This record gives sequence, C-alpha cells and structure tokens, in this order.
Amino acid sequence: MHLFLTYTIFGLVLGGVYAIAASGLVLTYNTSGIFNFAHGAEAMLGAFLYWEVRYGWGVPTPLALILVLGVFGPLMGGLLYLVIMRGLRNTAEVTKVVVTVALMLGMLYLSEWFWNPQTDRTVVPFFGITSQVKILGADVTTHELIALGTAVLIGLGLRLFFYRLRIGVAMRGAVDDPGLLELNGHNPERIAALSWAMGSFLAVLAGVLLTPISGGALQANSLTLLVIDAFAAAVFGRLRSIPRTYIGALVLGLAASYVLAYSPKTWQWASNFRVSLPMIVLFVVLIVLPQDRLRGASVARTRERAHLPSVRSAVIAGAALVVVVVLLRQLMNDSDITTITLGMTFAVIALSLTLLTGYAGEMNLAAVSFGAIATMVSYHIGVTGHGLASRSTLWGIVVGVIVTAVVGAVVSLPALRLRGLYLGLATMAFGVFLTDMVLMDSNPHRIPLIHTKFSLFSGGAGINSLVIPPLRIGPLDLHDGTTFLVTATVVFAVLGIGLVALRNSSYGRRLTAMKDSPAASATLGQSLLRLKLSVFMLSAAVAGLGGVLMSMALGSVTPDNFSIFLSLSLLMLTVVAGISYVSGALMGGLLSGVGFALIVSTFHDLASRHGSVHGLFSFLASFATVTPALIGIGVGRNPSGSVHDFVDSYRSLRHRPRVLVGGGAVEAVLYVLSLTNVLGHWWFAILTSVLVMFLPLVGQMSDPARREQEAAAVPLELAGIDSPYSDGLRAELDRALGIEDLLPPERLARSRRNGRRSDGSGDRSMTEPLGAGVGDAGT
Amino acid sequence: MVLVAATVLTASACNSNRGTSSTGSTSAGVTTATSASSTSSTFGTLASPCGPGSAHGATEQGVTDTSIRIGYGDDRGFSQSPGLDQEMGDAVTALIKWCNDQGGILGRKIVGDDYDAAITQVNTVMQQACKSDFMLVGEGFALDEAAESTRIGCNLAAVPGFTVGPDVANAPEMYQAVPNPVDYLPASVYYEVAKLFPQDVTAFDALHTTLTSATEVSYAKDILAAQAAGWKLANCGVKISYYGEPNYTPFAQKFQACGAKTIYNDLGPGPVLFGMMTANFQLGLKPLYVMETNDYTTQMSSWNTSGIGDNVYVRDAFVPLEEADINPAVAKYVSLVAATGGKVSQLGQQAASSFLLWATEAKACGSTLTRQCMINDLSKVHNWTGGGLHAPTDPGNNTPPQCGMLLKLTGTTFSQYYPSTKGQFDCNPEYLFKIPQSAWGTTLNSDRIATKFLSASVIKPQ
Repeated sequence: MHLFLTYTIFGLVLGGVYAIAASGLVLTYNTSGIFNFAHGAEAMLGAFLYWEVRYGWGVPTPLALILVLGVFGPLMGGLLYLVIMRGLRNTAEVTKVVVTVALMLGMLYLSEWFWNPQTDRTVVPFFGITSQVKILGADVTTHELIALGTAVLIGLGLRLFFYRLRIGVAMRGAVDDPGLLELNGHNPERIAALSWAMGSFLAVLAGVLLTPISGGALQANSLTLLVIDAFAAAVFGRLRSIPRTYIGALVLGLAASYVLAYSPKTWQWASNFRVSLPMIVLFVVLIVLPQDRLRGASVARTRERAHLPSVRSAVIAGAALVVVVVLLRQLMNDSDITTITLGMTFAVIALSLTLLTGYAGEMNLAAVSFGAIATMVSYHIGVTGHGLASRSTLWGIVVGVIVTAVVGAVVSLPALRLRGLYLGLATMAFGVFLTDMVLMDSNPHRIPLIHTKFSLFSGGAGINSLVIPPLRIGPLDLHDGTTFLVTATVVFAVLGIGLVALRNSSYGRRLTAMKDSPAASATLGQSLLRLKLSVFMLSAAVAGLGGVLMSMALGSVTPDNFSIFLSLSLLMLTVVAGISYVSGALMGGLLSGVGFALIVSTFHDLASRHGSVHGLFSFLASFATVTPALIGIGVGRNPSGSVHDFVDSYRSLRHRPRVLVGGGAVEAVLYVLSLTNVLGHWWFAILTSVLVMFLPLVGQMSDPARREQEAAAVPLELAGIDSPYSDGLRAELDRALGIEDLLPPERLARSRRNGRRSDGSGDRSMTEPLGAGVGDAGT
Repeated sequence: MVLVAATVLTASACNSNRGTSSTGSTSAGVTTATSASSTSSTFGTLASPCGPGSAHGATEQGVTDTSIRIGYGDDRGFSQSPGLDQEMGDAVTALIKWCNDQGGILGRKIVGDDYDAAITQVNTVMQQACKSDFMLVGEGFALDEAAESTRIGCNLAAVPGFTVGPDVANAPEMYQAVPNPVDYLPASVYYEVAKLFPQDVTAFDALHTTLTSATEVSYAKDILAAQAAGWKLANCGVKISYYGEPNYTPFAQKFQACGAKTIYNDLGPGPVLFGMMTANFQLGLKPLYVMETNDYTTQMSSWNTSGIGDNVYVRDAFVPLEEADINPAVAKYVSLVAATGGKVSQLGQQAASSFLLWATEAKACGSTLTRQCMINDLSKVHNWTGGGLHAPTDPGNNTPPQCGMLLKLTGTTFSQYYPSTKGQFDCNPEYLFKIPQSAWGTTLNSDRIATKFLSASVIKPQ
C-alpha cells in the first residue's frame, strides 16, 4: 500500500506538469490552428532563462519567477504569434508543421549557443533540496506539492477564464467562428496573440516546475523531449478540451509511474517501454478516439504553388544531374565523395516526402525511421562474406524495401482516416517508438521454436549498432566511393523520373485531386482508402531504399542515425527547397546530409586554427547551426519553396540563349581552371554558386526593354484601377479581346494612334500584345 | 538531428575514458618528482625522443627526407557538444610543437593533420588520412568502429589516444599507450573498495540506463569483475532513460528498497547522473558511489557545491592533474598545452602518452621508418608510463595496467584517496581481470586480434 501510494503521488505530480504543458498546446492550437511543435522548446528556453536570472544574475526567487513567468513567457508567445505564426494563414498543414519544427530546432541550437552544454547548471527546488513532507507515510518534496497545486490551480483558472471572463468567452468564440467574432467587435488577431502569450506562459511554467523535479540539472534536449511527451495528453483532449487534456495527462503520468513500480525485473524491455509509453499512448489515442474535423482543412486554396515538369524534361534533368555529378567527382577528394554520397542518399529519402506530401498531401514526420526498418532487414538477411570482404546483397535490399512498404501499410492503415496533422503525429509517434524501443533491442533473445539467439538491432554482445557493408551486384561493387556516388545519383535520377512520370499519370492526377479536395475526389468515385494506402506504401518503400543506402554510406549505424529529429529536419529542408519538386528533394537531401554539417565544421576548424579571429569564426559556426532553422521559419513567407522561385527566375532566361550560353561558357572555364588546380575547389564552389544565383539577374539587366515592359505590364483585368482609363488602354483592351477586327477602320486608326502615344513602347507592343502580362496573371 | 549523436556522445564519454581508466601494473609507478620546470630534453622520466639528426629517405607514405606527416584529432566539431574531446587534439598539437622545436625526430619535422571527426564524419576523416598520412597518433574518435574497415583497408597503422569499438580495441595495426582490450579489465578498483569499505560492497548495483551501446556493455564486464573481487550484487531493477527522466525519486526508492549500499557508475557526468544522485540524497540515501574515470572531470567537481557527491570515488590509472606539483611529467604536459592555449584534462594526458610512445619508436626506426618497422618495434614495448604520466602498461601485448589508485571527491576538488601516498599506485597481478568471451563483443583470434576486419594484407609484427 505504501508503495502504491508513493508511486501514485509521483504519477500525479508528473501528470500535473504534463497537464500544464498540454493545456498550453491546446490553447494555441485552438485559436490559431497551429500545432506548436516548439512548445517543448519554449519550456526549455524558459527553464534556462530562469536559471540565468536566478543563479547567473543572482536575482531572488520571487523576482526571478515574475521576470521569467510574468514577462518573458507571455512576451515570447506574443512575439512568436505576431512575427511568425500570423503569416501562416492559408498555408498547407505541412508548412505549419515545418515552421514550428524549425522553431523548435532553432530554439535548441540557440540554447546551446548561449548556454554551453558542457557546463552544468542546476536549479534547486523551491524551499531547498531537503524540504519535504510526509503524506500518509510517503515522502513528497515541497516542490512537488507546489507543482501539483499549481496544476490544479491552472486547471480551475482556465475553466473560470473560459466560462466567466469576456475575453475567455471570446477566445472560445475564435475557435468556433472567427468571422462572427469579428462582426461582434472583437479582434481575432489580438485574441490569438493573447492565447499564444498564455500558451507560452504555460510552457515556461511547466519547464520551470519540471527541472527541479528531475534533479535540477538542465539539459536542452531532454527537457524539450519531456514536454513533447505531453502531446499525447493534448491529443487525448482532442486538441480542444482542457478537462479531457487534464485527464489524459494524469493517466499518462500514472501509467508511467505504475509501469516503473510493478514491471518485473526480468522484463528487459520494460524500461524502453516506459520511455516510449507516451508515444505509444499518442498512437493509440489517435487511432481510437474519434477526432474532430481538423481546423484549416477547409481552406479553399493554399498559397503553395507548383509547376509540373514533363517526363521528357525530367529525363533530361536526370541525365544532366548524373553528368554534373560525374564531372564534379573529378574535383573532389575521396572524403568529399562519401559526404556527397550521404547527401544523395538523404535526397532519395526526401523523394518519399515529395511523393507523399508534395503530390498526395499526406504527411510523414518519420521518413528516416522507415529507413531503419529496411536497414535492419537487409542486415539480417542480406549480408554475405566476412570482415572487409563482406557485402550487402540485392536480395537483402529488395526484401528490406518490401518489408518497409508492408510496415508502412500497417502503420498507415489504422491511421488512414486521419488527415494532415493527425496522420503526421501518428507517424511521429511510430518513429519515436521505433527508435526508443525497437532499435534499442540489442540484448539477444532466444526465439522459442528455432532456439537461436536473435536481437533486432545489434552487431553482437549487446552493442547497439549495426555495420552495414556496401552493396555488390555482379560487377557493380559499391565499395568504391566513386561507384557508390554515381550509383546513388543514378538511383535518385531514376526514382525522380519515375515520380514525375507517376505524377503525370492518371494515378498522379488522382493523388493531386485527393490533395486538393478529398471530399470532391471521393464524390467523383475515387477510393481514398486505396489511394492513401498505396501512396503511403510507395513512399515508405522509397524511404526504405534511401535508408539502406544511407546506412551503407555511413558504414555503421546506431539508433541515433534514425532519430526523429533527423526526419523532422529533412522534412523541414525539403519543404524549404520545395516539397512538390523532385529537385526540391535533391536540394533538401543534400542540405541535410551535407550542407550545414560541412559549413559548421569548416567554421569550427577555422576557429580552432586562427586563434586571433577565433571569436568571429565560432560566432559564424554557431550562426550556421541556427541558419537552417531560420530558413525553415522563413518558409511561412514563401511556402512553395526556393526551387520554385529559382526555376521561375530561369524561366525568364528561356528566350535568352546568349545569356545561357555565356553562363555555360563561364562555368566551363571555371571547371577547367579548377580541374587544372589553378582555382581552389572552394573558390570553384563559391564562384559557381554566385554564377548560378546571378545569371537570371544578369539576363534581366541585359534586357532593359523586356524588364521595363514586364514591370509595366498590368494584368488586363486590373487595368485602369491604379491608372487613368486612357484611350490607349481602351485600344489595348480592344486588341486583347479581338474587338479590333469588328471596328470600323477609321476608329481603329484613331485608337492605334492613341495607343502609340500613351504607352510609349511603339509598335513593339502591337506585335507582342500584353503577352507576358496575361500569361503571368494566368499562372 | 539534435539528438543524432547524443548517444554517441556518452559512448565517447564513457568508453573513451575506459582507456584512461585502465589501471596500472607495478608498485610505485610514479615516485616523487623533482621540480616541475624540467629541461626540454626530457618529458618526466622519459628522455625526449626528439632532436636533430640525419634520418632520411621517403620510406613510406607521408615520410620524406625532411618531414613525417601524421594524423591526429578528435570530435571537437560535434555540433551537439562543441569542443568534444578537444584536449586530445590540443595535447598532440602541443607535443608536435615541442618536438619540432627540438629539431623534429632525428631531423625530420613532424607535420600534423588535425582532423575533426565531429562524430559523424569519422569515415570521411579516415579516408583523408588514408590518402596522406604515415600513421594516426594520439587520436580519439568516439565512433572509431565506423571507420575501422577503412583504416585497416589502407593499412594506416595507429597509436590511438583511446579506442571505443570492440573491433578497434583489439585491432591489428594498432598499439595504445594505455590499452583497453575487450578481453581484460583493469580491476584494481573493485579490490581496493572491497578492502577499504567491506561493509558497503555487500550490496551493490550498477546505475543502468536505456543506452545499451556504451554503458551497458561495460557494466556487463564491471559486474563480473566486481563479483570476482567479492562484491555482492543487489539487483534493484533500476534502469533510467539515457535522455533524462522527469523524476528520479522513484528510482532512488528502488535503490533504497533493495538496500544498495554501493552504486557503481559508468555514466559520464551530466544531468542524468546528477539528477539520480540528487534524488538519492533527498531520500536520505547516502550510498558509496564508485565511478569510472570519465567522471574525473571539472564538470563533476564543479557540480558538487552542495556536497551531494562527497562520497564519490573514482578509479584512476593516471597521476591526477592535481599532483602536477610533485610529478614532472604531468607538470610538463600541463605547461606545454598551456603554452599553445589548449585545454588540459586527463584525456589529453592519454593522447600525450600515445604521442610519446609513437615518437620514441619512430626515433628507433630512424632511416628505416616504415609502418612495418613501427609495428615491429611497438609490439616489443612492454613497460610504458609515458614518462610518468600513468601507471605502467603493456602496449605490445595490448594489456591494461595492473595498478590503480582511488580518487575521492570532496566539495569541488578531487584528491588521491588510496594509496595514501601521493603519486603512488596500488599494484597486483590479480587486478587484471580476464573477461569471459561472451562479454567481448567481438571474436578474437589466438593472437587476441579482432577477426572482423582482419585480412591477409594487414601488417603483422615480425
């Protein structure tokens, strides 16, 4: 009984803190439709800042609490809403996810920048470390009682706030009908900002309360992850009901506590199970509970845009990619080749996101985790030879990819009626469960019937890693770096072309229809179930293939190589680059596999070598770690991705062969210079980037007439609104509408004279009548 | 990406220092020292291997008439833990400068390639080293196992500062100043604690975590060795999440319930360990903490302002930095690294010892400086103290020291606790514990070499 009581109290305290965190999440989701993945990171930042104020600056506890909880928390939330979240209206669900994920990663990097993780920071509980009371014989610290009491007060307070206060009622109104609320004289913007401020306050409160309970030592990652565990409670409350969220949080806290108390010592897996319990609960809750219609799903038209390339241009681009990689290989030393290969395998994983999210509008937040499944299968059945001579076989990869597709189906099948965010959360729960539990399985078990020892993720003796040898198919041996790089590039190119072909097929059009409007697509007789299941399986298979290749490129993998954070940042960078494009996948993959790691380590290197400017370089290194997150946050402004903009800028060069040829010639010269070692490789990379970036600009500058015309061109339907409605304009309208031919000759002559006089561009505008303008308006 | 290699971080923190923790062999490994300001021609008790000379010949990759090119480095660029193990690289940088200032090795200047494996780039770094370096010296890469097939594939012989992977710890073409093979464990600590605190070892448990790769693998060995020394295991069923727990009190209660008097810990210093110790303290539980050398850090000592860690005992096979005033080798190491602006720690001592071992044998090879010659000579070194940096080891046979000392944390300082004479080690052949094959994590051939990447083309000692 004593044991039971003790563990019940622990469960309640933990549940209380979860409840505080989860209710903040529910609050912000309700008023803005954004599920805040950065909620845990806000808690973490709050806890760190509290340490800084309380211990760094030596401010007394009450004042420190007021500063952090009363000022910093609400301020952070309010600013986040005003600066970032407000701009996310009318964006796809994945964009919202990516922005908050980027924010989370950014906050983590920022905390590591400000508070060096190698130093320890300890927060002492309120009223000291030994201050405790006995409740029915169980020891409870004063701090834990305070946490529990705060949770109760917050729960009651939120209830009163929502039902008794005008602003609270208005907030509930914002949930139901923002338009109606506005008609009644409220400002939904202000209400949303207020709710974000409150949400952030609750996150910071959870962080400040939780830290001393967990021993007081601050660690950015674990604090962030602990609050992410509260997601399950929030989803239990269906992301809208605070009382249900509280119940969910308490159940979660108690369950974790009882598993700890009563699981037999012989259950090796019990502690991994306990750690992944919140994610298992999240998955089960998502599937079992009837979910509300998602907010934001009713947006008629999102801001994301995508051009659809033809298969022919995809084939050309694919061939060009292989040629470029082969050419670049001549410039690289062996170690770079491995790095680029790794990036290319990430790009293959990113292709699975292009298919699933870009084409079909579904979400997978754990793409890399699916790669783990294929890796495990191919390790167990597809390795031949020994030591240096060991190789992976094609058979292992094929089976691995098939198994991954099947697992993808098993995961997605129950989740198929979920959409968007909920499906994303379900995949995230699966991914975390996989790394926390399945990939941790390194102790050999005896399999009952065949009496062999077997562990899922271990190369022997309980060591939690797998050595994945390179693939050999007949004469093709990926042991050689160059062969591996070219093979990975060809695999990417072929899959990419395949995806473009798929997108151009009737299946692809059905996927797009489902993405645009599931309801309309179902009405037209499409089987959404079959579509979703098939596309999820395909996507899982692609991720599996990419994952095996990634493992081979790494040589040896640990569970961390499949961490959920890796999946999230890959998704983030792919969305930044343009998730609807194969080229977006390429860029996203290369960036997450190569780009930033390389830049950061280069700066660290420079910092350690040049003592005098050490500060500058380590600042740049720290800044470079935050950069991807900043770019990710910026995706809210440009949800179609940077590839989209880039392609658009080159589109204007299509009719300027001289500029293109000139650019190509300069690049060729650079390449030859670099090949003959006249030009350093870094310089080659820098100059090439500059050339590629600025070529479109050069094209525009060298064509002033065209530029002027484009600038002046006003879409026809908007003509005459900003400027006086002149005769010339009327003539242009006539011309564009084809009225010219119907008019009597003398009137036509008059209108032509007027037209020439007013638009000033002379005959040129007659031969090229508003083409660009009309075209632009249509795209 | 944030957590990508956080696990690996502990792997490095724990295993890396496993090398350090290897205990020593003979009795008074280090005697009292003269003054700290010894001349530049010695390093502690070791005559400097560096100086002018007329060795010549481009005898191997990286070796010319005038220079020897070696690779070294650490994981300092790991984005989750900037500066990880940087003291390894700092130590070798300082010693290369020290050596070149004296004229290099028999007149050949040492050119060092300072690699940053940043945890994940280890294979990349190894490929670079394969292309240009004569050998790897004093390096410490936490994920060394991932690059081992590359290293052996290009016959890049190494004298690492530490090894982590089981196939690296017993690798061919590899000699460590302070070996940490998979089949022998330096077990002095268990005997010493059993002798000093007989009533406390009647019930001990290890602080298990969900991180199986590093800590659990070493616990399997530690527990066997402790039991051999007479400790009694009380299995309390504690297994905490490596990523941190929201509340450690339930675990403290489990320790309390099963009556654990000694808690053995492999986990490096940090929030998880501190959280657990704080929770024990809050419950009034004051066990004896016996820890690996990876907890002998300023992070550990500076945390202990509250005195919660006052009963922490750390095993050590190195002369602690606190004794630089009586040990010229430690003093030399500290002053050399300080002069180049590097970071000082015991890991750095370890890298320094490996560099000295390498340089000594490189001098012996002279104009016949080849990898074959180095391997031949290194395999014959059976008594090595790095000039007095640590207890004697047997690099040639890849066996760890039979000696050790206990350090005690009191407030924010570590000091030698046993043997009571400063700088003295406690030695006994019994302290070398033979680990059962099931806990090796790899297979060894009759020469105790890991067979995983062994091929006919590896260089064997002749």
